[in-house]
Amino acid sequence: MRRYWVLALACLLLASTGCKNKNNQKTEGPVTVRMWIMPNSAQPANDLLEVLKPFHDSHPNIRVEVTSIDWGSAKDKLNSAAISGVGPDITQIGSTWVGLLSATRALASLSEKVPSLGGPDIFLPAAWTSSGLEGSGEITSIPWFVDARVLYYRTDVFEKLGLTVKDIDTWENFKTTLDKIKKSQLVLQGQTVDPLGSPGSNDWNILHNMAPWIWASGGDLLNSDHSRAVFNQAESYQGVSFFLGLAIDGYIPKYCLELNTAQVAAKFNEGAYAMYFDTPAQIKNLELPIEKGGAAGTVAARNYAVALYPAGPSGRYTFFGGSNLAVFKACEHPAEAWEVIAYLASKPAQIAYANATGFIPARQDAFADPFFTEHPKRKIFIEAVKYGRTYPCVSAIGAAEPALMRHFGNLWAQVSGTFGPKQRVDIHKELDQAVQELNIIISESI
Amino acid sequence: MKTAAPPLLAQMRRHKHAYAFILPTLCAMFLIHFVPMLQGIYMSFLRLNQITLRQYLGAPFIGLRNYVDILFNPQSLVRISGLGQAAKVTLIYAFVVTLATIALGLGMALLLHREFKGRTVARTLFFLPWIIPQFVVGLLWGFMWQKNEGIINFVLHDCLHLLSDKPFWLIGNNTLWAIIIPTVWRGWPFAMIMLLAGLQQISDEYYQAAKIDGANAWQRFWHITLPLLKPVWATLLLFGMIFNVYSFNIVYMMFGLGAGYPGPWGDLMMTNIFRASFGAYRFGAGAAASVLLMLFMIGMVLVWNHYFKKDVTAGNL
Repeated sequence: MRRYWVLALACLLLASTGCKNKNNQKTEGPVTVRMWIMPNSAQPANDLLEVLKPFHDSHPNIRVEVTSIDWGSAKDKLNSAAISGVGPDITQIGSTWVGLLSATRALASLSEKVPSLGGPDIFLPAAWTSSGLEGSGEITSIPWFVDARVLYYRTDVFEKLGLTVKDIDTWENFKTTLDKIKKSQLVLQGQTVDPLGSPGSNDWNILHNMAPWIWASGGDLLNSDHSRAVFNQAESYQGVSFFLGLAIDGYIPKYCLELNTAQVAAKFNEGAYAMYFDTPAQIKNLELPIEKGGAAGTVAARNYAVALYPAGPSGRYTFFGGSNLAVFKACEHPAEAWEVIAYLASKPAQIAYANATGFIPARQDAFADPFFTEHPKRKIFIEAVKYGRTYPCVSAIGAAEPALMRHFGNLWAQVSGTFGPKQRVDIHKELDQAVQELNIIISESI
Repeated sequence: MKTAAPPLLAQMRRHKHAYAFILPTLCAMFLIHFVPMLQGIYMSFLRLNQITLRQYLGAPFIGLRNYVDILFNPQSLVRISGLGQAAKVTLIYAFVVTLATIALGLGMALLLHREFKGRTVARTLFFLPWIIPQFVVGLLWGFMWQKNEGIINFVLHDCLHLLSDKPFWLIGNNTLWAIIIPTVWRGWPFAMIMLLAGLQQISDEYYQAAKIDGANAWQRFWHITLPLLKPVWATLLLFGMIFNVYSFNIVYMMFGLGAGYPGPWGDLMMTNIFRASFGAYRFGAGAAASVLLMLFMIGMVLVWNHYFKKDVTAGNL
């Protein structure tokens, strides 16, 4: 029996010696800054490392180790990092998650560092809205890139029907144009062209797709002091009703309602729709060769243009998504991490990353660059960012996203008519239930 | 004359080598199974949300509040977010999938138990769905169920003309079938292999004797095959219910790659709890729902034990 104890003791000693050596190891060489990003491009880590090349050349003492994590598991991983303190030094955060993650108090304050970048004014105002928990006075993330959504339309369809961009300028014009396309029953290059493509309930963007219509009709998600949800009021109802009506009236084909954004984009590229809304990354996709995973050469790539969201009764709005960069409080190398963030927030790095991913920079001065001004399609974003709007940066919004997606998803399901012939689209009921749920979430978030 | 059982310590001393060998496993089980489980149970008594997340186990203790909300407060967040409907769908799903898996597995096992050319190849081919990971099954069937371009509507509507219109499978009431059928498709080969192994243990003499007594094929199946296979199908019943009640991957991947809400007829307990916990940061409520589900499953196992334990004890198999 004694032999077992001696063996166990020896194992323990060996293990502890190993640990001791590892812990006492003196750090030599460059500091490694670990960074988590989401798949922002076809080769997320490599593309970012390419952008970081000048930084690595000028900072031989810092090495950035990039790990790409999937959007689906990102929240889960960020939770674990927030609780355990074991995670990356820098992380990308979806702009609508900043409130939620800032409320956990796991993110380091960057307030004192912002002046060294040039202050908040260098960023697009709507992007800066998501830099920290509203009312806290603390900056916990730096806007990195933005995805202002725009309308992609087929120029060949428009030419054939004598339409111009003016015909999609307002809600009224937009609906008339959709109707004209529907009635024309166009078949181009062997493909029937439906007026509009839009995902329904099986998509990450349910809420982001709905929000611009709510804002453009004068509605909002929360009241002015963010203490209560208000999107069951008449204005919001009008916006929701208009957007759902596009499917009810047959402008959005019903089968579309089970697709996600990527699938709708693929069908637009094949020539199935005359129009659809998407992020700026679609321009990059339409220019990228098919062998590299893009859609260059497709029907849409040869015949497309980009327009702003149609203006509603209360103005023109587009959802302003995107991502920010944050540093965890448990970061081992905060000074070096900040140097990386400062570099990625610089104009050349912002342009380079926009070029790699297709998303647009969060810095205002980047839009004066030839990258935007001289590109026939991309220059629309110089205008589009003026209409950008996002959700208030409060913890309740991040926590409410699943609930809002569920309720708006239910509405799309009702529109699809899959609950039997007696089912009607009850927008009031669904919005009331969603508001009730969001109000409880708000009360529990305080 | 009966001899007194040796005292525990004496028994342990006698089997010391066996205990030494299982000790590392016991330690590992304790660390990776029981500790997190106890932690999860403790979390269910906490107000653990986005505000208190960093306090983790130090979050405010609220006693049974999360349980009261789930069980008795229809206006609580966890209830209005569809947990009740998810529980109902989960029961239907688990029950139908488990029974259909065993029934299909048994039918195929009976066919493959006969001698024919290519039997080994057929067994291997039939087993293939089982080795496909669940999330891949969800992803593939998500494409197959598509209304316009999915192969299922193509076959049912365009080829066989069984349906007058192409229905939605990924939205609305049909989502229940959209999650049941792929789960059965993936699960039946395992049931088939287990039941086939069971069939091969049944002596042919029983069937010969029954034939001499004039029993027809159905009577032989009902009075010989089914009772003698009971240890196998009873085990499959238990494992099937447990696996299917905790099902997650297929549903998660099928609806927009985990993007959204599978609708009231596609949402299971685990996807609902996952959204509450990791989507909305209501970890306390999510933990309480998980504990209640675990207690329900313990109850199910006890019921199973009452009815089937004697059939699966050593010697009967």
